[in-house]
Amino acid sequence: MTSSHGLSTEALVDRFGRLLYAYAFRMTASSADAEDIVQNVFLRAMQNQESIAQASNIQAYLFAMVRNETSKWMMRNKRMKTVEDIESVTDNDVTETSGIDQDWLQIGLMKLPDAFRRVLLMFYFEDASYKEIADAMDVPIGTVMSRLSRAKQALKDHLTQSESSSFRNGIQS
Amino acid sequence: MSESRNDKIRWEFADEADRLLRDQLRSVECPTSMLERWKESIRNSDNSQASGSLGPSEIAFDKVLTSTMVRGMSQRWWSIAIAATLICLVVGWSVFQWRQPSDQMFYTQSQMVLNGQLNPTTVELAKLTWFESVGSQLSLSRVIDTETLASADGDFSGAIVKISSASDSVYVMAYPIPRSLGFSRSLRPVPGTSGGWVMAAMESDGVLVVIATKGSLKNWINVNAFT
Repeated sequence: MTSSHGLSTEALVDRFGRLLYAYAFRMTASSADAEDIVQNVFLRAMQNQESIAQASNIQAYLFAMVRNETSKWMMRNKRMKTVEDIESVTDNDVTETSGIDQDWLQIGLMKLPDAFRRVLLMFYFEDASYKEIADAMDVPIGTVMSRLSRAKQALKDHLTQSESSSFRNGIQS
Repeated sequence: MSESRNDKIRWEFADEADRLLRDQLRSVECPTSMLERWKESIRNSDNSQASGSLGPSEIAFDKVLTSTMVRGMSQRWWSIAIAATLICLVVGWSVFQWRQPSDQMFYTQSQMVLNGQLNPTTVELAKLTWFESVGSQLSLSRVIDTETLASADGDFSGAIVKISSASDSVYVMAYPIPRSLGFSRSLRPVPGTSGGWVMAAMESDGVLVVIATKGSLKNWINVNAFT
């Protein structure tokens, strides 16, 4: 099956799969859940070819689907993960990459309130403008700016707390 | 000048930090063969659709949930909650009303006690209690011509039954009357309260019903009767 964008669903997987997975993982801190969420999104995308074809920005459309699936997942999993849970998950799921300690980054992310994390991830993953984030979250732009600023600051504070973190080194190098 | 330089450094620092964060947030290692698994499930799903096992109309195609739709869902939940609350209030009020003895219930009780359909011991006990304790405090003759309530030999011609609830009790007196005494066909409070006792009376089809309780009549008869 091929959409009007000239991309089959499998091509969408190749093109956006990793990024969507990373987004879902950052939201859920669970590799298995993130995989399920994104797989479900692609299955729905395949079944909903017409809507996909009409989407002006296919990446934004897929991100919106992942956001919604993630929200549903979060409603189903009301019990928030504890830091210990996250540590145990990240030990297995995230590998160390250059720059920031990925486990520590994920822990910092999960410490943020949901609404803050969502704004932050929309900003960094979707490169969305304040207005786009405000529209998607149905909040005023000022709220988005405030949440984003506070989320960034909280995450940066968290990262710079870690002595092992090379966050500062990464910036300064 | 130096301030402006510091600002510039801060901005550069912020940009650099943003870039670093952005890159690091995106660098999540995917599970092995994850993309292949997804493609496989897409192919399987595609095949099952093509074979007609799951037609498009049978698949629950959820549209992307926009914030408006989420708001709509929230409003729907509010509507359901409000409707449920209203239903609970109506049902609660109905139960409350239902638990209040109605005029008809008192009348029926009176008929039963007059016709000897209730336990004679209970009736006799109530009669005894009434005349020994309550009757002395509450003079029926002040509001009702007691002569009409006596039999030919001057004896008490009525019957009494006591109805109790968890918190209160009421005496129901029934008298056969040969003619109307001018009471309403529904219970109405009558003057003559004494010793903390209050009364209400009604008449219907040759029977005078008087209820007496120590407390509030509103616990026993419909509040609307007083309005």
